[in-house]
Amino acid sequence: MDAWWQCEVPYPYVPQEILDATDSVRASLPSKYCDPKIAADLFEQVIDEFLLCDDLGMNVLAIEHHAGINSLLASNPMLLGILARQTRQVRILTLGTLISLRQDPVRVAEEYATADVISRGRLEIGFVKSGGSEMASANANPINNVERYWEAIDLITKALSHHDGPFSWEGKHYTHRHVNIWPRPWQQPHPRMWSATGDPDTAAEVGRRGLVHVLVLRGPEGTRRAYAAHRKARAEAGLPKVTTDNFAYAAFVYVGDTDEEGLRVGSKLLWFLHTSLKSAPQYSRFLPGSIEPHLAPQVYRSAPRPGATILSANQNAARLTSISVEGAQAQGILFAGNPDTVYRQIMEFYDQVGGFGHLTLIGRSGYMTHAESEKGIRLFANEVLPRLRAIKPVTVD
Amino acid sequence: MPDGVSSNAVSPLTAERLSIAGVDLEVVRRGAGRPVLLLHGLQNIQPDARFLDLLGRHAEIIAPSHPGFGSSSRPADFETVYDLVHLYLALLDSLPHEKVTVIGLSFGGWLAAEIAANSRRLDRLVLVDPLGIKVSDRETPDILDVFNTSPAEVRRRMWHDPARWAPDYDTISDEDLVVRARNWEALCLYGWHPYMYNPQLKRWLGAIKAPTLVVWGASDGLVTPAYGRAYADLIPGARFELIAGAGHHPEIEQAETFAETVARFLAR
Repeated sequence: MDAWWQCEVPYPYVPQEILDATDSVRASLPSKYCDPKIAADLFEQVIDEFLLCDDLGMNVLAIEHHAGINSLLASNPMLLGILARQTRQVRILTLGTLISLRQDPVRVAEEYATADVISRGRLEIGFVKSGGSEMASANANPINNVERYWEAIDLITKALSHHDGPFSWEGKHYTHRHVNIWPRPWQQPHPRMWSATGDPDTAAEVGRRGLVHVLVLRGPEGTRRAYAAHRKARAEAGLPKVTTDNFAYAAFVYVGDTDEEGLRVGSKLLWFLHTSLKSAPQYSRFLPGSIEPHLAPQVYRSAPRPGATILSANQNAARLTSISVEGAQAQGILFAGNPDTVYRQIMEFYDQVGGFGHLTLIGRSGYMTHAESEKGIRLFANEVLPRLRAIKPVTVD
Repeated sequence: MPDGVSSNAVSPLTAERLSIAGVDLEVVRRGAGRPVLLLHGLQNIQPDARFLDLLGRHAEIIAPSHPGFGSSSRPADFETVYDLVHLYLALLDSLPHEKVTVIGLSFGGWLAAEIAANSRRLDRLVLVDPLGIKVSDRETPDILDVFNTSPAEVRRRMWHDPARWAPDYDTISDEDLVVRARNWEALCLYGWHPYMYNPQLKRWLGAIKAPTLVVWGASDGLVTPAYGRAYADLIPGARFELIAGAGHHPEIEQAETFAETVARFLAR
């Protein structure tokens, strides 16, 4: 198993009374509450933490989110460029530029090819569907978002792997009549690709395409279901079986010297769920296209009727905002404690979902300090990662 | 009296079906008299709406739900106002009447204006709080962004008397909520970008030949009466009438006054 460390560079330093009064900490919270001097300090610390990962041999991961306290990483390629140059040995996963929000996927392909070349072939390219408040922030139509997602992936893949002069693309959502990018990527035909998704339809397509399938904070049932949909779709399409290397899971992880320290510091990560998910109804349950219309009676009413099945990502988010530390541990959302405990928790989850080959660590969030973060990185990389590395990919039915 | 009347003596509260250009549409019909194509706004027409009965005393109302709204089908890749305009031009051609009056409400007013600029078959045109054009400068939105504004604020600006007229999602039926979710999705698909207007339409409003009435709810906070006056000024000879005590839906909040205003215009 491999491990990938990330920090979303959250900005928790907005007065609580402002956060309480607003209906959304994303998309619409005025940027006057973001002090650029504090932001600069945060970036400096977090980039140093990425470089510490590089020193310790732990892979790194760069995400993207827009206009909120949950993340200052509005521009994924900027961080990617820094990591491509400043790290020296580890692999770098972009997870990733929110491609269904970008007008021109060819430009995204250029950014990725450039980062792959600068890093001399250490890039991995992950795709994220986006949704919620990001639609307003990017002026992106939430209807057809998934169609744009797949078409953009197709165009980026071709732009990276076609090296014989200009080709033309006149698709449904993107037209680019003359595509010929320089540099071409270091890795041939293109860097390995990942996709983050939980819903069964998209999970099946991720399976058919053979992408590395990452589930974020989905807990055992949702994760197992998505991995199963991935494998089932491959079997139905007559495609070869895949190993656990095709599956990844993202959770909050913190390792301390003792269980007490691991849990005390690790529980700070839940700030992300408790505080940074607050999203106005127009960006969540009333966002057009975010639910199938037949689910509207469960989602549109102020209180769902008893017996409602909770299905949507929005509903999942609503459940997460009130989760306790114990609940987060029981749900495989938080792995925290001393090195032995964290290893055991990861492996229990591994067994529950049928195995995975990559753990992506949400390793710093909320008010966790730089020193605490660096300590957790060292302990994980030195005490837990070697044991995870011993777990080799296996074929799963 | 108008010509080519096909009588529809029964007023069923259930919708009929109509197939136009291969698209299966739900259609509410009411009344008898001159033919009127009624194009709905943000929501499809409720068959039990009071204004339908009132207008039906003066005209034969044909009110389809747009593809993706109500129970009308939406073919794959039928996704733009361009598609809707061509669908309704085909619908007009399919009617036995030489001339047809078109009434467009809100989003349907945008469609009606596009159709009127494209067709010689219009007898009269009535636009009710229509969307569809850009009037103010680039940093002043004319049309409230219903997708990016809190539902409470949309409700407040949509109605003169929200407590009386705004739908309560906690009490309306499951079936109605499912239809509203469908409508919301279709509206977003057609109208997201540029938001609820066609940058080119303003230029072509001057080509509208049919006598036109622009009706506006005086309390409309979704698109203001000032926008309405600017809209009317762009259509040659258009009359503009404000209806007091109504927001974005004068046909619902002031059904009697609305029906009288329209009937008076049609009788001229």
